[in-house]
Amino acid sequence: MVVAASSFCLSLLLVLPAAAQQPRLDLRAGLLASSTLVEDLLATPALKARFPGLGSAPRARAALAPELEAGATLPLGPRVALDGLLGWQPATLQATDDAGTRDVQRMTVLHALLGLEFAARGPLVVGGGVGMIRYRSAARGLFADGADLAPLVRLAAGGRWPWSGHALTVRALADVHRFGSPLLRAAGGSGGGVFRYGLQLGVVPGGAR
Amino acid sequence: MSARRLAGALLVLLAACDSAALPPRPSADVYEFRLATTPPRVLHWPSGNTVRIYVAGGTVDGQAGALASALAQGPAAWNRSALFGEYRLAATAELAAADVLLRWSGEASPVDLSQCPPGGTRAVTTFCLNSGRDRLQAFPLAAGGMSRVKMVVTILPSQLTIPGRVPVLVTHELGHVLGIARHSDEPRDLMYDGELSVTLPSRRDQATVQVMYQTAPEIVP
Repeated sequence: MVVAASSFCLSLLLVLPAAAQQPRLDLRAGLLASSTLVEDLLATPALKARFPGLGSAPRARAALAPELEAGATLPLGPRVALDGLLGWQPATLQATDDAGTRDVQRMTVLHALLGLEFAARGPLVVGGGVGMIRYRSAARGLFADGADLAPLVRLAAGGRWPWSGHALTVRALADVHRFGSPLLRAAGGSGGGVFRYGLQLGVVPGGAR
Repeated sequence: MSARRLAGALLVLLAACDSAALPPRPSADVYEFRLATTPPRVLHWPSGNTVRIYVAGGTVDGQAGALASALAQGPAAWNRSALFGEYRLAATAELAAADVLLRWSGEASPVDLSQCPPGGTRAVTTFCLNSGRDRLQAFPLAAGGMSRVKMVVTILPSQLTIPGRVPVLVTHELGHVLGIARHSDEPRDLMYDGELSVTLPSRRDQATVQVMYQTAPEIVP
């Protein structure tokens, strides 16, 4: 994935000299949901035989939460733009087991993205990007020893409309990234993939085209 | 792209997207934690509960502050094992908010212990079952009325003469407070019933409390 990101950035460097327009502020806000972050496979058949009330594997995920992104978009041509974005999502880690679902701890999900967006047909835009993501939380539970900085890949599709000299955007997005931590490795566990998906509304001030 | 290549790419994507996982605990890493009734019964706080501990006493010279100091590290040591927020141990300065009382033996107790007097040699965790034997009874306040205290941890002051002993005993007793109603037979575990050689929960202690909190309780405080 790192090789793919490097190739992507290299191709952007080759394209950049052709860009003639100025970068513009790009602001986005949305709601993101997440797949399971960590699952605990603790119960072996032998343990279930010893302790008949032992339940199924507990798992944790980030609850549906708002997300903000800010950055710049640089038109590279009439139909393509380069986006650089920093994202911030205040989220709650939720655990689910046989006892139910409960909030475990607050966390902050930070990411940086570099991507390309193409104007397809009419207002339709499609895009994608690569970046890095990190989860931050109080040093306890799954985050007792912190969490890894991990690569992130995003795909998005939506629409872009001019409005009073600005551009308004709506995007459906999905990204995939790795989640791992020193605690997981110390316990003999493994990192794994996480999907996030959601909807974003955005504005590019002065960005009507 | 051919259908075969597309299927291959999808398989790679799916394999890459298995969520992070903690491995199963070997049976040998989990010791018996159930209350020694017939049949054995699982006792632990409801999942997601914060268990608040109040420190009493310490009015005698040399004892003042020793339990509070011990309580500064014991809860954190056990909370580290609660990966999915199954429980949280925390100190409280309010007796009215306390689920657990931590006290010295021989000092006046703010709750009435006459129904369930503590025994033990060095330290002991005491609780009273209700008549249905499925819940713990709250201790009455010594001054009258009821407290919400369901467990009392009593430490013998003689343990203060051994450097470093009290914090280890308190952390060991907090394992009982969480619901580990037995002892480990492995000297390297904090819940060993003998001379303790470790100061923090071992991997087996952690696995045991994690399995215990994923096992449906038959007795809840």
